[in-house]
Amino acid sequence: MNKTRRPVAPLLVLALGLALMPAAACVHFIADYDEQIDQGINKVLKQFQTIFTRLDRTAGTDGALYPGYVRDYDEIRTELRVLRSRAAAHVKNDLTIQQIDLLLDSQDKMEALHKLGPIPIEHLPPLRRGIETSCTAILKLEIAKKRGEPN
Amino acid sequence: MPAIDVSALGQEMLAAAKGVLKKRWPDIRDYATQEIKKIAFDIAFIEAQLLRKKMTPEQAKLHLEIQKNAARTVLLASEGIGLLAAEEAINAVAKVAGKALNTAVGVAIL
Repeated sequence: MNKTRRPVAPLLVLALGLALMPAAACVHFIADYDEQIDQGINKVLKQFQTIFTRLDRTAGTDGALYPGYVRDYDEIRTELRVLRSRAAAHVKNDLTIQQIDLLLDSQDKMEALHKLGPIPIEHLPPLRRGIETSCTAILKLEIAKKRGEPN
Repeated sequence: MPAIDVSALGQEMLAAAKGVLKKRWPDIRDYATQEIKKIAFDIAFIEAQLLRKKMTPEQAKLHLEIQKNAARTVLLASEGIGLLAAEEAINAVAKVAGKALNTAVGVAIL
């Protein structure tokens, strides 16, 4: 009998279990990358930046008043709701759905601010950064879902 | 048929996992740190504006909620990237184990 042979049965069972996973069906903890969500959030960020640029330029004038921006806000909200639906169509995409919900809430808060009166020019930078950070975080996660595929 | 060297295989599997996680950690740490610092700066600005009465409590509350949402969104991204790293590590380990098994049995099962 070969006394130097090490018992490998438990490891073989484990390795066999792992190896019998079909090569194409690797473990997935998060949904796959979705180019539509990537492009959609980029579009939303651009729409927000357009609002901020106008607010910067029209600060202190009637051009900064809320009624002149209702259509812009509505377009963003529609886009975000469509993106949310798309995100929800994927399995294991809860994190992205939560991120989009937070951005929708931020938009509500920004509109509420705007309704109170024209946003002072010195209050625009933190507001813009808050929205940018949220959009970038959504994009960061979405792009990471590419899992090493070339961009 | 060669026996699987348990210790060596364990080390190899561990190295595969560590390599992936180590590669991803700076990404999460640096990104989250950078974003949270920006948010902290803006929260301090809001507080200063409130104290100088250049912002009403109602305005400050709305600004603060937007910053809190931004922080939460960053943390969700970090959580997602961490999960992707774990996924990559598990798949790397499975690949090593599969390869070892194929070698041990002398047949390419996978």
